[in-house]
Amino acid sequence: MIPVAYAVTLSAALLCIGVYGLLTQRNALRILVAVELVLNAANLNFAAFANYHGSMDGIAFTLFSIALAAAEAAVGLAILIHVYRHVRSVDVLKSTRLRW
Amino acid sequence: MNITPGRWRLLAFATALLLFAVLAGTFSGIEAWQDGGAGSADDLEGLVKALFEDHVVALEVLGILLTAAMIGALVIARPLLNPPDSAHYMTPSDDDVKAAQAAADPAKSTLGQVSRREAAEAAAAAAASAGAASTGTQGAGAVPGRREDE
Repeated sequence: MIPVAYAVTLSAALLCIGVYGLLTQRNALRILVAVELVLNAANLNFAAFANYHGSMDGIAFTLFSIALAAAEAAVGLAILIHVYRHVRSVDVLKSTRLRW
Repeated sequence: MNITPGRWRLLAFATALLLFAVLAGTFSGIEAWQDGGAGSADDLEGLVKALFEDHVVALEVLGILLTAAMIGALVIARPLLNPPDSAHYMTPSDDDVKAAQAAADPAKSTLGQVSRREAAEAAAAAAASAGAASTGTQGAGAVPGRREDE
């Protein structure tokens, strides 16, 4: 049995890679991928602790989270398509209409 | 404070590394997490019970949410009947941005670059002054990347 600390450490690494991507990337597609990494870090935690406690609730929450991530990705990509039609770019620094 | 993109990347890397160090240090110090635990989550009947008995409302709400997200994504990304009016949106060209960056105050910049709005405004001012010098008639109507009604 894999110690749960290993899974949680891997999840922390995924979280940190996602945070790094969120802080540095300007391409909106890469930002979406970074958000997915952060979400998958949470999913990994859910699965690891569900296995640790022998409960299936964590697995059910993981399925819910995956479905939420799918919905978020669908809407995010649709918004990206819309933005690209108007700005001709997915660089977040070029979309200045809603900037304060 | 002017932060160049390279410094910003380094700062982000340091932040991510610090976050990982804190989290990994915390996790490695918890003795109870050093083994695999008492249980095992490979019970398919338990998953079915969790999904369709304990959390059935959440499952139904999630189904509605997914359907709404799918319809919303289709509506947002549907083909446009008319092409977008280029005069209606701010899309400064790269030349506008470079010209504005050359003329802009670095203290106002974000990540070492001026914002696109500042770039468009600086390029517009330069174009307007050049146009006024040459013809004496052109004004704000020659502003690149700005809406006509602004």
